Amino acid sequence: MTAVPSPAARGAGPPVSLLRLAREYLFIGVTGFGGNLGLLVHKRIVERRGWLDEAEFAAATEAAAIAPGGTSTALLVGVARRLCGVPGVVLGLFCVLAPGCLFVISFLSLYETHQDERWVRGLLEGAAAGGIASALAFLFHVWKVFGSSWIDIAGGALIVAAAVAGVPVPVVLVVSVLIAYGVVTVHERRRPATGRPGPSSSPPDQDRAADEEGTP
Amino acid sequence: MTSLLGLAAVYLLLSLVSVGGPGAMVSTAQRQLVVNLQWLTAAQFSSIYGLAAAAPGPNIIFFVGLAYVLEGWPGVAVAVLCFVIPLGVMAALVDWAGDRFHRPWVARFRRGLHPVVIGLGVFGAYVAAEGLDQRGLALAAVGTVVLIRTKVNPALVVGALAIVGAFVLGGS
Repeated sequence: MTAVPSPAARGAGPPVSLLRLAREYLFIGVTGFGGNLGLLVHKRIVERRGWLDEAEFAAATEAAAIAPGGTSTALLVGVARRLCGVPGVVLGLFCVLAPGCLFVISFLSLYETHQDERWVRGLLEGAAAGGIASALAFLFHVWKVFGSSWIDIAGGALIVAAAVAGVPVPVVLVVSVLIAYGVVTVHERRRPATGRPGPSSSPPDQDRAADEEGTP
Repeated sequence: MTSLLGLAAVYLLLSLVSVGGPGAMVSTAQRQLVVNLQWLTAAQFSSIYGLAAAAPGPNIIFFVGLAYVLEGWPGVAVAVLCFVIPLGVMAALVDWAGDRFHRPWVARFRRGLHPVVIGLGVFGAYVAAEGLDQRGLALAAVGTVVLIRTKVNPALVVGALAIVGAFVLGGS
């Protein structure tokens, strides 16, 4: 199968064919238990295959956070788009969703008759605990990639507190992004030119290019 | 009383408004399907959520399972058409836009998203953890430490915790 050129300016990694993407997404779809697949996607796509570098993966994670739908799904869509364009999104989404959908539909009828058995409930609770662990470990990794800033922890804690208090999540999202945007803007204006650069997921040349492009 | 058209409307709405990760999606769906429309009981909703958590694949598989329970295979088709495809398109557009517009304000916006990514992610884990007792939370804590400190495949940790859960959580 012909390798599809990446739509993004990829910094590293070989061209990825649709077949290889489909095979990898099928593997993630079959082995990615627990719901949050960010950590598994990172291990397979960045660490094992080297198809994306850390900066690109971080950019896809940032975009996934504000896209509608689950973060894992949006991340998988973003990664597939970066690797193989629109055909990659369609094929990747099918390959990653089909195994789980068949599993759930097949077991829903079986579950009806076994749901009161203790070991079944324990199995599901254990799997849910694993999913939570996977999500938290992924967030820890993302926090390190973002630059290990304690401001991110403090801001994240405020967002959690607001959401737990019952503030609608879209409202939390919009308000927190606006506040964070303002904080970053003020921080950048106060930062001396020769000072230590603030944490950023973008590589230095990308930031420089962005600044030059934005300069009138 | 469910209908394919009603399900399509609910799923289209969910795909458009469920910004903010699994926590936001699940709480929105719970409010719509259980509280407002009463198409499912809270117990049915929790059971399907638990089953979806034990299934391989992303969180949105849960919504395909819900649609199957409500309307069978036509419901699955509605879930794909009105939920999976729209959010796939929007996720691709958001990702493309982030790449396309390399402006300083976009860079600042992306930097501003960092606490949002972390906060909403933790909130999603919090929502998922509400159904666990103290032993379940302890299992989640152990799994988190193992995944942070080692290079082990997360799927293996989830599988191991499911087996431990069957013995420890289901044995009492």
